[in-house]
Amino acid sequence: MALAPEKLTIRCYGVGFGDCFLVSFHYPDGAASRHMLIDFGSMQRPPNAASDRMGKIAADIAKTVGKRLQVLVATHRHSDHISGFETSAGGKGTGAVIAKLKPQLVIQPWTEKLDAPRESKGPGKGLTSAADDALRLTLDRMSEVAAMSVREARHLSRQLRAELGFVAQDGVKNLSAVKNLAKWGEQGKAAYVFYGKKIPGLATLLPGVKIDVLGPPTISQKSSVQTQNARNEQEYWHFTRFWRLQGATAGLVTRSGADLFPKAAVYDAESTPAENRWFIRRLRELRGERLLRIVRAMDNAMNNTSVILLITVGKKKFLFPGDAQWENWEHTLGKDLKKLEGVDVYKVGHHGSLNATPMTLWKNFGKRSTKKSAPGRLQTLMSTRTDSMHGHPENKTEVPRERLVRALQRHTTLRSTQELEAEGKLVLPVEFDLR
Amino acid sequence: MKAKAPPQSSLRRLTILAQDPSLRERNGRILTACIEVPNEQLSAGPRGYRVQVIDYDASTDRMFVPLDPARMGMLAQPADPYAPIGNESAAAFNARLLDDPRFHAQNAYAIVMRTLGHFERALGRRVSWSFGGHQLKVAPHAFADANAFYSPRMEALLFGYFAGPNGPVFTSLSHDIVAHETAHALLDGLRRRYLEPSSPDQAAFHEGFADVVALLSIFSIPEVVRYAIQAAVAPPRGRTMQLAQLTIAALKRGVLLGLGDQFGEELSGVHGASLRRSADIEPSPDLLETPEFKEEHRRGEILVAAMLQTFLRIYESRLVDLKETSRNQLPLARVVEEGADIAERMLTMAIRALDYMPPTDIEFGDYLSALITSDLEIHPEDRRYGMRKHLLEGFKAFGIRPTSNHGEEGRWEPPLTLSTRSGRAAGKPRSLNYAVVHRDAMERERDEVFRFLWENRNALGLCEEAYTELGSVLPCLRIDQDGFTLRETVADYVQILVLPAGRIEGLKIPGRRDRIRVPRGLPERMPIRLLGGGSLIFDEFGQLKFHIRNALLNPARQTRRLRHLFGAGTFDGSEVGADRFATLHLKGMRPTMPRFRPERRRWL
Repeated sequence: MALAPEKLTIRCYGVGFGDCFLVSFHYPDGAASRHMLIDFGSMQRPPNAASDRMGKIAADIAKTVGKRLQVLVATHRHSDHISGFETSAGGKGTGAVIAKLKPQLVIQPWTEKLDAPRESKGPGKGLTSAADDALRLTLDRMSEVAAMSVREARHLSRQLRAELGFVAQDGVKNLSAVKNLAKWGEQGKAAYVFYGKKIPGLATLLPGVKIDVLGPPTISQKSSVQTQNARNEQEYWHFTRFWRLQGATAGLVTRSGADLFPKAAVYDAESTPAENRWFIRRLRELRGERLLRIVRAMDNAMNNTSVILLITVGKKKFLFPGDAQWENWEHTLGKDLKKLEGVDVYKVGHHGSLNATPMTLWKNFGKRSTKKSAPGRLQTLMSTRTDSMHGHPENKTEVPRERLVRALQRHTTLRSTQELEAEGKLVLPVEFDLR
Repeated sequence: MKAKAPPQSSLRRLTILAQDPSLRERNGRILTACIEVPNEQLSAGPRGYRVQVIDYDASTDRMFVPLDPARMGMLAQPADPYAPIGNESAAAFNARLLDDPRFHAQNAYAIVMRTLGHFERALGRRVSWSFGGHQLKVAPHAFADANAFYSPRMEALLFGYFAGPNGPVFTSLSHDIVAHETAHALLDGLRRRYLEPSSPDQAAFHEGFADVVALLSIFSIPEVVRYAIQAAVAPPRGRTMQLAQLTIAALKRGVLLGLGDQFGEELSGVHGASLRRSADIEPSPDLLETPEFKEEHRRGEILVAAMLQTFLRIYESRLVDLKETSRNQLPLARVVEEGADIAERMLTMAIRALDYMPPTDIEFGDYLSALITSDLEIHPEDRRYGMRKHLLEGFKAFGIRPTSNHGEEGRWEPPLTLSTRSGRAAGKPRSLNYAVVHRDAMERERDEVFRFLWENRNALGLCEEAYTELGSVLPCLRIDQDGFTLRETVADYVQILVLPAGRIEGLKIPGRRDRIRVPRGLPERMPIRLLGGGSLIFDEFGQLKFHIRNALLNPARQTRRLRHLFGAGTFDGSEVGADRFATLHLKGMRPTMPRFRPERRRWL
């Protein structure tokens, strides 16, 4: 009889605003457990957590995994999902701890493959791949815009600075983590996945575990870019052009030594003429608001590159969607609703934000129940933080969203990393019997 | 004995870029023009009585030190600090202008003031900004972004800069962009309600009109016309043009070349691109009905295309007239002068028509009637250029017909025709009552004009149930290019009626059998705001010449408006007001491409 796990543990780490799940598959007859790490990142520590929180988590992961990590998944490039994979200048840091575990298979979205051409001009020869390349370039350009936004946030009002800085910093390319993930993939095996992609070698690494990749779709899987026009503001090529321009323009501000008028005299902060101060203050605010809109759009775009994994072990199904938003879900929901009906465990998308759990998906979950004692009741796991810097209750964008949490509590067995905050605990282990 | 003060000039001359840095003379020097703006004692900025340039860059948090105002000269002797110098090389001249942010500031100041001057001359009065203040702020390097917009909230025009194919591009150096944004600010000051959701034409009008002003503003500069003609047609022998070369196609090519290509095709989302696209639209009477041109930004391009076609036709026609008397040859200077003069006259006409527009819910046909009527008032004869004939033909080619044809094609009807035609059955008066108002006060006092309006509410067909408010009362002295003068007083009012959707179809309209129809699916209790209003044009004797209105209780128009608003989902007033212009060019950032059905996009 083929080897199959009989128990499974999900260790939900208290990273604060971020995701880090270590899924351990326990096999019978004393066979060694196998492990899959899904994301390791944070944008904001849990309340009252010490500054070495990420280091402690890395150490706990290493201790739990032992010598070798079978599978590492980085769902998408945002810092709150991959910052734990970075190494410091001296080759230390949490990334170094993970590196020692020598991940055998590194799964990332197709958009992270580092061979995108430097220029993709849009429609033309090899249109399908050009469309996919263009998105990868666009994501890089967004990172440049994020870097510009972080820089510009410095001279904004405190509230705007905090909000813009938080969202933009998440989008700034974490070069060390990105490089590490690529390197580990080269050293072991790399799988840059998209909707429907079969993951090679999985049966050897995680016997008895089936993984369906439900997202992200490629551009060519998703729409007919061939018929789209670059002048149409609603369509794809216009979108890539917009960001090409934004990315290049960001370079005018962030490039070292960039100075449009090197010979021009400028005022120092104290000598700005009094008659202009009202205007300057207002212009900063207006610019900040506009940047916030831009970085939020980038944030959504990056979230939509999230890998969506449906893990089937025995009779149980576990759904890990990263931070997928509508444009990613839309493709899956149009094709795989039936497959998603029997999900047993749902990792709540995007830390419980308002736009990551589509109603279609929610209503399709067949194991939702208001009866707490219902056998096989849907279990939900949420990695988030109380009082996060994302969104505002007054415009119903707070994270986690109150309405969503209420629904999860009423219809599912919800476990959240917020449970760890009061006692300052590191990890919330949740066990599942697969027999 | 007191020293005699030197004579003060009413105008100062300033150097600007004729269009943008991409237009070069044959020797490589950037094409510049010397334009005239009102003379004033400028402060540092420049900062004058209507415009304050503040060169703060929010992206880098730096403020450039402006030019010492002493270099701009004194009232008695204004100076042009960036005028070409003797035998300065092209490279040195270009660098002196392009590398100096203080020139960028002067360029923006001068174009804004020139555009303001066009409006004030055309309307024959001072024109206020829409906000309370007197000085419009102008930021020539506001941020690193491919955007430039008018912000009522900031009381400002904000010009961004961005990375172009050949280096940084400064939107404040593009004549068309500066004139376009200034036109938005001025139109907002004149017609506040044009930003409100209404018909597809109204949504398109702000952009289209601003582009018309930009286009004609550029081509009223002789240097640009000269450049366009030389670039489009084989270089003339000596200084004489063969007129047969100047076909419509050649002139159109010249216009496109004259608009420059600073941004390149790649940057199609940037302001200015629509102006260039308009020149490419082939006339067709069905365009306005196509889905592509139902979209408001593209729809605005039709208005520009119609004006551009008209400009080209008038220019060609004028050259044909001249050809007959000049053996097919004319000095280049004369050809240029004719083109710039036509553009200047059309610009004046385009602006003056605003006073002859209804204050709410406009359609392109209203603008055409306004163009024709306002021109008829000041130029009863139209012999020299035949502008009205060409305008009617140019607009007709794009399916735009005048709203009114009283006595002459396109002319608005006199005040009582509209209301009495439908109002005879309702027993409306057939004459207006002036006995209760004072003529002098009618030229300046809102309450006096309101009394006239109220006393004549039946004759003028007002809706008594609605809230009625008089806007402004503005005496005008219009002087045309040939010295003809016209005294008028212009006033406007709006009427507002808010009703639950379920009650609108029950509204009885005096003298009419038809009703306003509400789109199916609109919640019955949803409050719906019906808008109407009119412009009142009084002659120099205080008699009402025109009552140009969109009646609040006009079933056909209100039904069309409600259907459009329902379809566009703008009953909530989204994209209205302060942020409308700022967001216009953010649309390309949408995170992915397929259109989705909003009703499916629901979250837990």
